[in-house]
Amino acid sequence: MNQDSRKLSPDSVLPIPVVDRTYTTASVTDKISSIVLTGKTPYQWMIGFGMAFTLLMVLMIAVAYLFLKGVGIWGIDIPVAWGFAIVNFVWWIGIGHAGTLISAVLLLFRQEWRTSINRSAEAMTLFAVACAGLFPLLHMGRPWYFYWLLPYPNTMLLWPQWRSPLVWDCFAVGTYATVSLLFWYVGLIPDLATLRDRSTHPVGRVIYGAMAMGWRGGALHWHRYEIAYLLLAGIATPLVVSVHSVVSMDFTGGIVPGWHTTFFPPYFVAGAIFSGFAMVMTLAIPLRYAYGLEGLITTRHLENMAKVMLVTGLMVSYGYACEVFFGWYSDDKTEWFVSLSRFFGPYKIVYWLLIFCNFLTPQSYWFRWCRRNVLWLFITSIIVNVGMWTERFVIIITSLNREFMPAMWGMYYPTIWDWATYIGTIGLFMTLMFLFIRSLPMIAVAEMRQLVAEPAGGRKEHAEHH
Amino acid sequence: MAEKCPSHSHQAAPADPAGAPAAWSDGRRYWRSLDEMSGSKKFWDKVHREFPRFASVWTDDLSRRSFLKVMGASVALAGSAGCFKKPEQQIAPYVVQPEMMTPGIALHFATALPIFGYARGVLVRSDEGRPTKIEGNPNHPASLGATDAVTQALLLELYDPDRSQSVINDGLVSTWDSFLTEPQTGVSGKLADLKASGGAGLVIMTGTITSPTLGATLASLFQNLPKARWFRHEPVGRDNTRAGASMAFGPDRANVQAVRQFDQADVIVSLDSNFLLDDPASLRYARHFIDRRRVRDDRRAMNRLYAVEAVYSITGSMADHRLAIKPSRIEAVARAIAQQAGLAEVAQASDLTAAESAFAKAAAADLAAHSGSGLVVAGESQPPVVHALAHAINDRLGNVGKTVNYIDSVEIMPSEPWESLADLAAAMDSGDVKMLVIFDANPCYAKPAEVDFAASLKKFSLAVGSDGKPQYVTVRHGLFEDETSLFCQWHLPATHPLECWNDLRAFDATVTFCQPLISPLYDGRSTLEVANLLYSRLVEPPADAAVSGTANGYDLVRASWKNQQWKALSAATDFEIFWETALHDGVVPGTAFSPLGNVTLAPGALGALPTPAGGGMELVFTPDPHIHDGRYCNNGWLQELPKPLSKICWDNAVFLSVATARKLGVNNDDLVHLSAGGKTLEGPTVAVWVLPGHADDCATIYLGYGRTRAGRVGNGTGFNAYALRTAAAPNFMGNLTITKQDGSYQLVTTQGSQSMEGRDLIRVGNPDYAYKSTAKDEGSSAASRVSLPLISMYPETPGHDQGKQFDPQWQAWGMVIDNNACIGCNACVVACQAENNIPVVGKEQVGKGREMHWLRIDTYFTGGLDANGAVPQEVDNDAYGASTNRGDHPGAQGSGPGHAGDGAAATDVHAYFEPIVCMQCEKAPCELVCPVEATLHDQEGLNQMVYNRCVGTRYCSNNCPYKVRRFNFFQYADTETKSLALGRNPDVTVRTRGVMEKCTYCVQRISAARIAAKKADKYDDAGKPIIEDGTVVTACQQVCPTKAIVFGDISDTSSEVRKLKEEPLNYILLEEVQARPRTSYLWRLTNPNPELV
Repeated sequence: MNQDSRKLSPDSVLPIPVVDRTYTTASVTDKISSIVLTGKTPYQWMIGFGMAFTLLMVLMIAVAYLFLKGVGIWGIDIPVAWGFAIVNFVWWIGIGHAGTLISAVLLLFRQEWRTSINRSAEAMTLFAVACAGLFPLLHMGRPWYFYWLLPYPNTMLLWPQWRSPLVWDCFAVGTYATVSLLFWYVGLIPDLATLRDRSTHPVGRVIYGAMAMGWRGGALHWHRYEIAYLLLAGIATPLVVSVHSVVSMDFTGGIVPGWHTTFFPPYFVAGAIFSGFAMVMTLAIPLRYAYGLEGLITTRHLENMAKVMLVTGLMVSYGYACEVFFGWYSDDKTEWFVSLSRFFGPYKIVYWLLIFCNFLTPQSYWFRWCRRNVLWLFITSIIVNVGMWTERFVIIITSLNREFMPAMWGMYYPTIWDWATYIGTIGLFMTLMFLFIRSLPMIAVAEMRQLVAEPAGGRKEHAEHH
Repeated sequence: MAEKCPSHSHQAAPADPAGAPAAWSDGRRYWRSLDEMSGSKKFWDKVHREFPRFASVWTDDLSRRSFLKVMGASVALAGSAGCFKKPEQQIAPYVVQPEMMTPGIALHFATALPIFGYARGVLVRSDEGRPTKIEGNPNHPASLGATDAVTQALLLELYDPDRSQSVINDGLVSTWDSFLTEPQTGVSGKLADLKASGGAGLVIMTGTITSPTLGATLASLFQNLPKARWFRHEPVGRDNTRAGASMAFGPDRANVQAVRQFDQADVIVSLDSNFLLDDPASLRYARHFIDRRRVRDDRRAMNRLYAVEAVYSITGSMADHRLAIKPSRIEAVARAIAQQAGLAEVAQASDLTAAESAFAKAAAADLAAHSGSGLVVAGESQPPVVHALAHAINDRLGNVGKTVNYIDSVEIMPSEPWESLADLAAAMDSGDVKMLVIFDANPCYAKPAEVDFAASLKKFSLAVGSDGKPQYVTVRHGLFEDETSLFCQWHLPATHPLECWNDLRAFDATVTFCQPLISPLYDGRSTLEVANLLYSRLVEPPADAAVSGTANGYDLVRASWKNQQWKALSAATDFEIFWETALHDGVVPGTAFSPLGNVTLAPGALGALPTPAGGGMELVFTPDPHIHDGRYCNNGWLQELPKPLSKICWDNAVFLSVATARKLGVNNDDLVHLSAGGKTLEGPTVAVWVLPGHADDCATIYLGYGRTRAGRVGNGTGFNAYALRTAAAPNFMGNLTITKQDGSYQLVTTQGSQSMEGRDLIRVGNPDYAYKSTAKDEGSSAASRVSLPLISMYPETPGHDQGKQFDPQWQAWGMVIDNNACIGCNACVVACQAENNIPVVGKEQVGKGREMHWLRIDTYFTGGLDANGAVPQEVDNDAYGASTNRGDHPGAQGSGPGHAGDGAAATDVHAYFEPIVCMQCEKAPCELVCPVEATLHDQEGLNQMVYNRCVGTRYCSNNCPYKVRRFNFFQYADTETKSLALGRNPDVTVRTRGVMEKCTYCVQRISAARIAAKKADKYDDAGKPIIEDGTVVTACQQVCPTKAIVFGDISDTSSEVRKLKEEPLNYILLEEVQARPRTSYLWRLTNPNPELV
């Protein structure tokens, strides 16, 4: 529609705009591209990158030592043969989900407010999947044979074992990584062309030019682009559900008490979205502050995300309740024992921390003040990130350490190398994030221009329903 | 975890260097090294850190792994120095094929190995001339085809890279020739002097000797040298047994030995006797004992065992009634039993508790009712009076000649016993001793606390005469350079029993000719050869001076037997035939001593019984079930073998009952200081282990730990209990003070919780109850017990036709483990380790839950049984403090001692064993989850593990409900130490890092049998190769003394395993998981006396 109708919109319908109304198409472009194209790297960026890179080096050392000695450097044992590696894998994969959800699902549902955060959320997805993907490789006893999990023609005529959830996992995560990369890259193409055009440095022009793949902004280009983007969104959307469902089957496929439950797939998906939004929040809040992007990533974005977190937080809490209920209702001694062991057992602190982080903390989002208080959101988003990590810890460790045979009960204590690997992947993630912020537009310029130019377009009715 | 572990390095310096006499510090060049030894702290450090690389990595996180690697490197270096005989390189096939040898086909040779000095008959498997496994000899009376853990582990001792490899003189490598003829220190001159003086001042120290040839050599030596002395040093000897016999039968009968016939006994009373483990005939006894308890559908009679003991032993765990009381109280109970069994003249203790008198009354009544089929056994740890009482009861009830016989002593004894180490030390100090030769014994470590034998020996070795030569001679002959070798001038390397010729007697005196399986790896000589060397110098001149007067063991044993009346023993007309036959069979027929007919109680024997004494907190010293008195301390297999009941490995601890621990306010891993006699005797600071079922108000500590020069495996493990053990009270002592110390020590155990947590893991009850409860089980038909009915919609395993239980073309392998027969002796665990090349991982890795044993013996404690002898349905196991929670935190339900409840009385605690192997599930949960199909099913029903294909995701282990899979978290298998490579089974892959492994039902043995059947072209109508039942014997099954493990083809309706599967008492562990395991279990049965329930 037009400018007027937007002006007519009463504040009760759109209490906080998704873009600061003072922005024009040109100023949006300037604002976003200048972050990348400035010749001067802010010292804050240097400090942040330096810290992230240091942590990345920790990862390098941890991985080198791991390959040298074997997985025995970690705290895993029999019976707890899976430890931090799988906890971290599930955690990172979960974090990735928000990116896909924000980009693809909200695109399909025409939620305009997604526009200013989808790019960084997609980047986050990609980097989180990269971190996640490391762990299954690192945790293998003989990682140099990782490709045996893939169906490839070989002289031994051997195939993977299709009944194993780990093989499904391979495909699920592989597909997810591929589609996320494509989706992200396709979305970047118009912006890469903008950077190519605006870049004053010859090297920048060549690189951005090559990456822009000859984008000229023609109507045909836009037409093809819109279709391709929409198609990829359509492909990516089921992945939001499928990837974490398959990851959950890594557990439900086993007969381990505490794992062998039917409700894991939806519960895992909800948890993934929960943690993903928390991570987007954790990243977006400092970013908008550092780069003065409050007008683009507005409080409304944050509030919407808080609402999503409230809903998904309640869903995972329902999952926790279900676990306990099924444990009791099954009348299965070992199953019920695992529940009790979570409440009162050696890892009870982790369990109650989980309940605090994932159930109690998000309840504050019932209150508008909490949803709009940026500092509170930042703190709680971190709490939820921790909570989701403890959730995976509880599922994996507390199920394995009290299984069928009391004789083979055992404890799991993470070693310094467990921690180093975990913290190291945070370093990898942050390093990639910093490089992304510095070299690519963290907000989709073309889409923002569209939003500024035609914010009350045909898509808007849906926004109002939100 | 590891950080908590205090360093042992401070224990290394054995003596105060300041005590060195000044006379030796004059720097005479010759004495330099010993001089330093006595004077310099720095030197002591150096001695301790003899392997500096090892010492520095020891405190490191991954120390044991690293040190095993270092060990490998040291051996490689030693090899390059020429001390290690490298295997010859064969690049061409044999020109002349050695007789019987086909490369790839193992041979078995019969021999015997000395355990407690007694022969244990074995068959040793030899692969291309390398002994690779020790198995039982069915012909041998002490074996009956079984072996124990220790005997099997002697294989690892053979290949131990820490073995002494050459003659050492004052710390320097020397030679056998130098030993005799070296002008300064050689012993030729001294031997000549001794010969001239009739042996005055010569002391020869040995352990227990049963070898007729060695005995004859020594006897002849002492006959010719009447002034020489023979000193027997056996830290855990049979003194009480002998004294008890002397008390009962008179001093002239002190040396008679009892041979028990458990196969004739219906009621057995054990007075602190661990006859299932600690006896030269324990394998035989265990077989006979269990044979009388084996209940089948058609045979439900059982023998009944009453045990009274302090520490929970495996014998006690098999008891139908067990009374856990302080060791000093056992005599009172024995007296009460004796009196009520009809020996009215025995003086009584007045202060029997209700439990004690009820126990005594029931046991005595049962014994009396089974006159002639009862048996009372007294343990060596009990004072002579208890032995005398046992003899008296057996005598009075007419058991002698039926369940017990007496024979002449099998041990060869000195004519004049002189058994105090203090006397010897005094004689050395006073100069009465001129030459000390120590065979095998280690008196500087295993000694009474009050004797500082090391100091005496050091002074003795360092004494210098006026001519500047050493005044005395000290010679040590042994397998290892240990604490004693350090203070001897000469250390002579011994050959391992698998490397030399010998002859040994078993518990009943049956002789075995021991043959070597391999030529000596190092420059060792056998005890027999060295004794003969001395003999030739001291009595007869050497026949050929050029060879230093050494005859080899082969000639010596043969000569000895040629001289004896071998003709009376054999129908053979030719000695060679006699010799070959005896060698082949592993026994010399007719050498067992006949029962003595006239062993009766000496008149008035019982009137003279001393009255019981004792008091305060008591401390029991008992030999470690695996490393014994410390002699096997450097054996990795035995160190890592979980001790029965406590499941601790790599350490000893002070065992306390739940109530006593609570009273003292201590818990597992706490450190306590032990002292006695009002602190006149300071013992070690020891870690506590709370052992349910241990008697209250006393403590137990295993001997054999805390060694400083055992070798790189044994050094620094555990605590030295000898520091508190006096010559006066070698078995238990009173007035113990236990003081809690700050800090803790990490004891490692292989079992997470020892409580069944109310789960149906081991089914227990008396036969009536057991058969009644199984009859109630719906669908408990014989067929369903063989293999559960299919309830899955998922198609059967390929090769198994729907509707047909087993594929007729293939065998269906299965196993039944009889929980009622398992005595928890651990023989199977070592057998599995040897057969399947299972690595030793070290204490730190065990502490993390990474031990590699494919077979484990789960041990659960429960509280009081109900009237059926069954574990009550809802038993609060936590009350017994049975949960150890490997790691440490008390669990959700299971809790450490000190939690929940007051703990059951020690007597009410029952322990049960359940050996767990891979169950070979037909619907194996592990197979489903492996992404690369590294574990899969074969047509014979085996759950296979393909090491080459394994990528190490470990999901299979997570998904295994029985947790039988083991993972190589590091490169555990030591592929660098050359000597260890020799001992491996060539038919089994050595696994690498990152690979999962587990029990395979000894698939290599199955393959060998199948190949043999196919080569023989024997097939049945369905085309299945015919493998007779009993052809395939798994390693664990083979060594089991009680035949608790039965393996075979369950599709063969006539096989033993099939018949057991059809037994009503057959059950499946965790049946509800529906994994359909091929391994099943039989009920553990009890036979309680109704009077006592």
